Amino acid sequence: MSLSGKRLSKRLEANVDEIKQRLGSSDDLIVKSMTGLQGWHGVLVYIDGLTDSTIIHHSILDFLMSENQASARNSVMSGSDTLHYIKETVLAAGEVTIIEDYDKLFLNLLSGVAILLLEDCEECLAIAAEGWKDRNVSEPTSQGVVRGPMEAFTENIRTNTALIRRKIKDPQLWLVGRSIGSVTQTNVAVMYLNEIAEKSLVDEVFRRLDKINIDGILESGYIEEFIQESSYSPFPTVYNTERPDTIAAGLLEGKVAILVDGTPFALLVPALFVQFFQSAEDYYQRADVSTLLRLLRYVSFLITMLAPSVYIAITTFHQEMLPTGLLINLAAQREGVPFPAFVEALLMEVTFEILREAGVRMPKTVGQAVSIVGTLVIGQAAVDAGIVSAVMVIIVSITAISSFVIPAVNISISVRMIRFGLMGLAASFGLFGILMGVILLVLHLNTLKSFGVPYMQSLAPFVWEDQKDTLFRFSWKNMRTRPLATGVRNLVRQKKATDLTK
Amino acid sequence: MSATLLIAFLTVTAFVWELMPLFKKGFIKDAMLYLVLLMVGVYLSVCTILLFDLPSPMALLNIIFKPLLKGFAP
Amino acid sequence: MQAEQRVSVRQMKVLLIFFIVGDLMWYLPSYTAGVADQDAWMAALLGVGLGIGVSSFIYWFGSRFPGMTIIDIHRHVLGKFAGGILSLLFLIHLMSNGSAQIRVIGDFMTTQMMTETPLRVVLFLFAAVVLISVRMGLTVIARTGQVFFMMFMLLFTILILLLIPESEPSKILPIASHSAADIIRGGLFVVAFPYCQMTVFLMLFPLLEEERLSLKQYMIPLIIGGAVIIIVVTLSILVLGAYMTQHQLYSTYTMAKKISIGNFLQRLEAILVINYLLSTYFKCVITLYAFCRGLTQLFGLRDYRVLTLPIFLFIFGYSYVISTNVVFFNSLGPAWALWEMSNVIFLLGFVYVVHLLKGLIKGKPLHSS
Repeated sequence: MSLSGKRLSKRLEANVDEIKQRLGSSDDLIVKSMTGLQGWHGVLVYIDGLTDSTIIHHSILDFLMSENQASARNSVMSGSDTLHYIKETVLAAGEVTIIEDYDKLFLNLLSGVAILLLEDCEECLAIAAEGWKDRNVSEPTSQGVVRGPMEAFTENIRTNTALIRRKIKDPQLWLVGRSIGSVTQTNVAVMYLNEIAEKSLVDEVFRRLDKINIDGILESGYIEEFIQESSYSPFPTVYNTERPDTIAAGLLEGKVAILVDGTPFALLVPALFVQFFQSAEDYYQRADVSTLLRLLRYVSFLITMLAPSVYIAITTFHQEMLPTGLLINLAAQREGVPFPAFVEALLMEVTFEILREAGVRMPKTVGQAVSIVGTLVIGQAAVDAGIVSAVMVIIVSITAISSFVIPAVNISISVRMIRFGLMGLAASFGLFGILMGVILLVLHLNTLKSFGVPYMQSLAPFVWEDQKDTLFRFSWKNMRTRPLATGVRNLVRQKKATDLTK
Repeated sequence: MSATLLIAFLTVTAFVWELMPLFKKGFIKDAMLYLVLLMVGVYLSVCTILLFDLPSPMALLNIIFKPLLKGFAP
Repeated sequence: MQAEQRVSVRQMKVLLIFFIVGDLMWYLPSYTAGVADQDAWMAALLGVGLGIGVSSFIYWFGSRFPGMTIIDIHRHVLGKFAGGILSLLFLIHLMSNGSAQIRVIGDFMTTQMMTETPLRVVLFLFAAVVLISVRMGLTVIARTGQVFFMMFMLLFTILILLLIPESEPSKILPIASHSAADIIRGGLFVVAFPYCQMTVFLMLFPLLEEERLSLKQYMIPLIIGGAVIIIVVTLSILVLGAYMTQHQLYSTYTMAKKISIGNFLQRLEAILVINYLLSTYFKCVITLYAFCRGLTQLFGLRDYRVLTLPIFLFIFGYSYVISTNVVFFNSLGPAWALWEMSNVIFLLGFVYVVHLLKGLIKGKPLHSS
């Protein structure tokens, strides 16, 4: 809905009328007219609610009115010169720019900028006066840690960029803005460390961002979908996070961060498979504890993906694999259950998915009670009614709990989908089917790329130096190089091992 | 029955998605080889599905190497 | 499309190890023990030594013609027609090997683990996964190999460690009670099965990322594979004894069944089946990939990917046709070994002799002028 570059006219009335007409005389549009002693007419236009009235009153109106009274000028200046005089000398505001066409005028006006129009002048001043209410910096909702910074991004992009700047004080941290979305004109900022990030990566990010042609961007998820590689894979190739320290760590490794105004979730590209298993806390705790926890995460990933399938496969096809005592117990439990293991597993998994979704949508007061008690009661009641066996409830619970161990939520969503496929394969072909499914899954993972980097980088192609940060987390003394995937330009992080014993 | 349907479905998919574009792009040699392989493949698959036993070409191995086998096999 | 299929040296080594270990565990102990009884381990040693020599010859042959696959070599040395015939024989050999590997899995699954599943179903599923992998390209296959490699080695080591307590050294006595001829016969099986099949790699070496695989880098997977062979055969004799090894259809599987830890963790053979399935899968994928590439190269086609679907139907059908039952399939073993060895002699040795002769004949006018 561009106004095709229409320029301001010299007549004040015409400009003000144009603005009022375009905005449909919206109630929150404030038009304040002033008259100076030298006879210049001016109009200050701003949107109430987007601007800080303190700034308007003290920084702009105060000085403009007192200029009228002080009036050290004797000569009569033309409209344009008056404008420049006001810009350079009078105003006490910070960011003041000169605008000549309506596109920019409306963009600025609707972003919380006050516009000063003068009679007999084809330009106007845009004076920064933003000030609206937004959320305080608070704790992250999704990726919490026990030890580490507890601040998370907010919906205001300037606050977010400031949070990152506070962590990285290098002048090479560059921030390039874009306005994406033809109607929403959402402010999107791309941040990267110029001397570390690969130029081709940065260019590629901008290329993809500039190709987006949609009316509105409401959340970083929209951008994520647009810039990810076009494949139908359930696996995410873009990492999102609420935490500034994760973004800062990614920037230090040579990744590129994308922040979107209006959402606390920032994007980090390129995202590799191993990254989804790394949590910020890994680097704040001791190396050995972190290594164990990381291995635990990988094991949980396997459990959450394979547990129901393996149960189905073993109880349907390979009963001889269980020790005799366990087998007799299982057989006794499954005695009264009318369904085959596959249907039983399917029922319980679907029920659990329903419970999980319901728990998210419920109002907070009711949510906790319903989800916990619901699972227990429904599980226990189902077992007593003889619809499912107790082992099935255990398996489903372990599966669900394991899925919460993975730090990145988007991978656990993918795993949920894959789990059902594997269950189907297990029910038809037993362990052989599961193995074939896993092989197909690994094949698929290996075909994925995230911004040109193979998705499984560090595992395959196998890079010895990067192993210090994939399955394990070696101590900081040993983290001498950046990961090969993104940090090739500037590989060495630590020059020499800091040795305290010498 | 359902297995034959599966093979038929695969053949039709192969035909429409792969063979037609090959013809259209003018790669006649590719298309011919594709067709030959497809025909033989469908024939063998259908034999497999219907459990129809064909004589195995591997029996030739025994015939060709018969003189050497005397000294070699257990 | 074609330019993307590059693999690094490390990935090639992983593929080589998977290929050599491949499907040897299914039947190699039975064949060697069949001829040499409890001296099968000596036969294995001899066979590995000879086999490494044969594989080195294959490598050396490939290095005579840098950057050319075996199809190119045949065409270059023997001309289009005769070269085409030999290449066709080579491709038929590849195809039969690939189908046989699928059939081995199918037979094993339906006779040992999932006896109620019909054979065609297992063949269909396995062939489908293999051909999907072929379609995805060598880079993806190599990366998948790297992902599974650690797990494979770990499981194999666990298998060995758990079997050592089950072994009885008395079963290997008397040592060297068989004539040298018997041991050599046993060794020839080992030469034939993993090592003569390395001709497959003559199709794949030009796809390396760096220029050439050096001989030392090539030897490491061979030696590791050879070590696996020797360990498996020796353990089979030690744990099961000569008679059982000869007469059991899948002796390593039987061996794995004997594992018992603390009398409660038993019957772990299903986990070891995963190992065997993985290595056979990779061997099959490499063989059929070479087959697809060879076919496209022989007929001068544009891209090998289009052929994967009809080849899937073909291989699926052929793996069933290849033999009517398990007994016939296993009886093909010796003849097949001879076929492998004759391949090396004819497709490689013969061709090289012709190449030398051509060189001499061409050299003569040069000398005489």
